[in-house]
Parts: sequence; C-alpha cells; structure tokens
Amino acid sequence: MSSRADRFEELYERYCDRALSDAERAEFESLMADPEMRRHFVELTRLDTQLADEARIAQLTPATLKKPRAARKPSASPNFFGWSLAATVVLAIALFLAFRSKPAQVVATVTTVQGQPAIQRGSEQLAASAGLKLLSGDIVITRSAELLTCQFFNDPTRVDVLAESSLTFAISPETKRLELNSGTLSADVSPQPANSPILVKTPDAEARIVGTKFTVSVEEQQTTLRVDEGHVRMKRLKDSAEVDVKTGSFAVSSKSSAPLAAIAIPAVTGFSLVDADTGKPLPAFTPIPPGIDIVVADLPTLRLLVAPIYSGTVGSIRYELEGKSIVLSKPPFWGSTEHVRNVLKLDSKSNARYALKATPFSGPNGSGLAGATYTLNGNIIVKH
Amino acid sequence: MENRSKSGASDAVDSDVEHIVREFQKQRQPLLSYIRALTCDADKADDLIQDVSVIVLRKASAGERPENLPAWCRGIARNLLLRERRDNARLIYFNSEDWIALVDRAFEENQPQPDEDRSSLRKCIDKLGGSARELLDMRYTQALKLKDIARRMQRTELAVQVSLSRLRKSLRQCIERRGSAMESAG
Repeated sequence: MSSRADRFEELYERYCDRALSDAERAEFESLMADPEMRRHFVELTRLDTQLADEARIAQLTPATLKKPRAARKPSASPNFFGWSLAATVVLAIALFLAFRSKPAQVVATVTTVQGQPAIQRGSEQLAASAGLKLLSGDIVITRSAELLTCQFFNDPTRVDVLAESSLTFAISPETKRLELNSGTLSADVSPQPANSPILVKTPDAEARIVGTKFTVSVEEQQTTLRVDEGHVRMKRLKDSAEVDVKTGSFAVSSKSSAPLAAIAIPAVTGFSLVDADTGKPLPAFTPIPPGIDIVVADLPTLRLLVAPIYSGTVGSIRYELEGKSIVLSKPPFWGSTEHVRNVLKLDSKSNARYALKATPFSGPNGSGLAGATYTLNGNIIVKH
Repeated sequence: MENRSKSGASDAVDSDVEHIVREFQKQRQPLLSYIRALTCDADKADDLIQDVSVIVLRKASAGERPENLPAWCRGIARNLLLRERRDNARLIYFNSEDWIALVDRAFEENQPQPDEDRSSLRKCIDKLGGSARELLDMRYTQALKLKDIARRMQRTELAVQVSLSRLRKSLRQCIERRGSAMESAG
C-alpha cells in the first residue's frame, strides 16, 4: 500500500473516532478529492459495517445469555425439529384455522437472516429470506447458529429471533402478541401507546412492553427476561405474581414458588492479585490496571490468588484457562495459586502475553444468566 | 369482472411494493455503510436504517417507483439525516454540504455490492489468532476508540491503527482467496 493510502487509512480511523484536528480534517477532505481514495473510503466503510454487524450478531448469540448447547446435526429426517416442531405445527394449524376466515395481516418484514430459518405458515413451510413479509400467525423457527431479524410493519420495532427458537407472531388490530415457545428473542421496541403494549408470552410468563431493549429466553421450563434499557413488567402465569424489571436487571419465572424478583445482572469489572499466604491483596494490583506489564521480579511472592471484582447477583464465575475453563461457585471466587501461575505464566522463562478471562453467572456451576465476559490482557516480563 | 380487474391491479401494486422491499433489503448493507460514513456512529446508523425502511415502505405503498434504487435510498437517508441534524448538529461528523456531497460522490462512483452471503467473512474471522480477535472485539463489539484500545493494550494509537489496517487487509485477502477458490471449484 502506498504511503498516501496508509496516511488516508490513518486519518480514516481517526475520522471514525471523530478525533480529527482541523488540520487533519482539511487533509482528509483534500485526499478525498482523489477518486482512488474515495474508492478506498467506500471499501473501508463497507468492511467496517460488516464487521460491526458480525460483532452484533456474535453478541446476540445465546452464549452470552445461556449455557452453550451442542449444535444439532442438520438432517432431512422428519424428526429434525423434534417435539418442538410437532408442538409448533399443532399451534400453526390452530392459528391457521383461527385466521382463515379473513386475509392474514402483514405484521413485519424480514430484514436479515443467518443460516436458513423457516417460516411455518399454516400447513406450509417457507424458507425465510430478506424482504419476506411475515403474516399474523406465522411461526419463525430457527435452528442451531441461525438468526432472523425482522422489522415491524410501519413501526421501527426490531425483533431478533436467535438460534434454536420458535416464535409466533399473533398480531391483530386489537393485540400485539409475540409467543415465544422456545429459545430466545431479543428486541428493540419503539415506544408503543400505553393502552396497546406489545405482549411477549412464553409458556410460563408474560411481559408487557411499551418501548425498551430486552431479551427473553425460554429454557428448561423457565423464562428469563433481561432488560438492557427501559423497564418491562413481567407476570408469572401460574400465580399472576408481577415484577418490574429495570435497566441492567433480569428476572426468572419458573415453576417454583420462589418470589418473583428483579435481580442485577452479574458483572465482573476487574481482577486483583491476593497473597495466597496472608489473604491480603497486593496494593499495586488492586485492581490489576488494564494492559499493565507484570514484572515477575517485582512481585513480593509467586504464591498468588486472583480475585475477581464483581457486582450484581453472582452465583459462579467461569475462568478461561488456555482453552480450558474452570467454574468456581463459592464466593469470593478466588482463582487458585496454580491457576494464577498458569494463566499469568509466572513460571515462564521468557517474556509472555497473559489473558485473564472471567464470565459471571447468576446461578451456581455456570447456570442461570451469564453476564458479559471480562478480559484483561498484558505482558509478563521476566528479568534475569 | 370489475372486481376481478380491481383485484388484479391491487395484486400488481402489492407485487411492485414487494419487489421494492426485496430490493431495498439487498441495499441494506450498502445503505448502512453510507449512513455510517456520514455519522461515524454504528448505533445511530442502525437506528436510522429502521426509519429509512419505514419511509421506503410508505413511499413504495404510495406508488413511488424509483429508477435508481440505491440512489433513491441514499436520498431518503440523506434527507432524514439533514432533518435530524436540525436538533443534533453533531449527527453528521463533518457537518458541511461539501463533505456530504463528497461522500455521496464516493458512493455513487463505488456502489458497494450487496452482501447476501457473509459466510466467507465469518470463516475468515474464525481463522484469526487470539490477539487479532481481541482487537476485533475491542474495536467492533465494544466499539472502543483507538485511544482506549491503545491504553488497554499499552501501545501507541498509531500502532493500534496499523494493526487494525493489517487486520482488515488480511481479512480482505482471505475473503478474496475464498472467492477465487469457490469460483474455481464452481
């Protein structure tokens, strides 16, 4: 690449960060007068957009919300979707009968698909593709690693149907109901009239949405509602217990009679190093500054524990360890001396990179809702 | 008979609208790139594209039939941006007519191809090593600015920018290699 193109890319990166000085701005604008640079500009924005999109999809995969499940092997056998398909087909027939007397209403348009999600429409099964209009009564069915995004008709509300899900659009002029039979949906709902909220119904709970960002998942006979923005009222169907779930919280409705409550989403925000013999934290590493080089010779001891700094309701923390993982379910979730030596590479003979990764879960042994994975990287410096 | 012809006309309109919506969906990524190019804000671009799609649907249902769909969509997006700019002067980063015209020209001359199949990109991302993936994660998932990435990685902003540039180059080459391999196989 020429130095002119290199310089253009350098300025482009700062342009994306809105960090150009006046002189750099003038330089960037003048470079854009060159057709080759304009071509490069379009190429860069295109790849950036794709990468941001991929990042969004990766973020929305169930791994951040629930434990990963083994991917189902695609097969052409009639049992492909198993019992959930049988259930959805029955439901589809019922809906078809309910709606057959009048033409079904267009409720949404498919905007993005990953993989080959299917639409069950009456007795017919259609392959979903961008641009397809979804009708009231349609059931969206996704398999492992598939995703379907749609946008409501005449409303900027966006719904993502994540992998291994079955979602029915039961929408009429009187009600706007999304029935999540299994799996996960994530939605960004534009403000709705107070008297006409969107209802998300699962086998054991119901949520009233008037405008918010949230995710609902149905798994192992329980419904988890996570709210990223705004608030959602959740009702447990078996006893009509209700709870307001606000930004940064989640609630679980299950068959148990435990009180229905909103809980802060678990989060790990940093790590500290603790002297394993005294139990006291090392002041210079409380917390470990992001990206810091750890000089082995400067450490008072190599018998160290790693202590996560966490908030919200944490039932367990999973640490990544060179491709393997360990899950600790007992507070304060300190990683062992051996763990620290391995992860931080304290026994290394030469300088090395370290990466500490931890994912908090609301329940023990990596169960319940997963918070975001916290990663800390840096160098281990070995002085001889 | 009259009813039947009315219904026929209505079906034709529906099919036209459906065609425009399908074509619009193909233009979604290029349009998103265009909005991003002006706003430098992925979230805002994501919000605006929803508004654009509502307007496209409304206009198509009202009988508008664009000759040049990509340019028509960019026009809708540009008008929306200019309208919103009245309330938010920082919406478009370089808030000048000259710059908007320059970006328009860039997209007019180099219309990005719709990307219906991104499996190659995904496969190429899967092949990336740990540090490249971390960089990708920081820049695109966490949407960190160069200076924040530099602070986290204990490197200079320039070093991070160079790494990002190399990363994008290697992804482009990987995608091209896969494209050529598929063409030869086909």
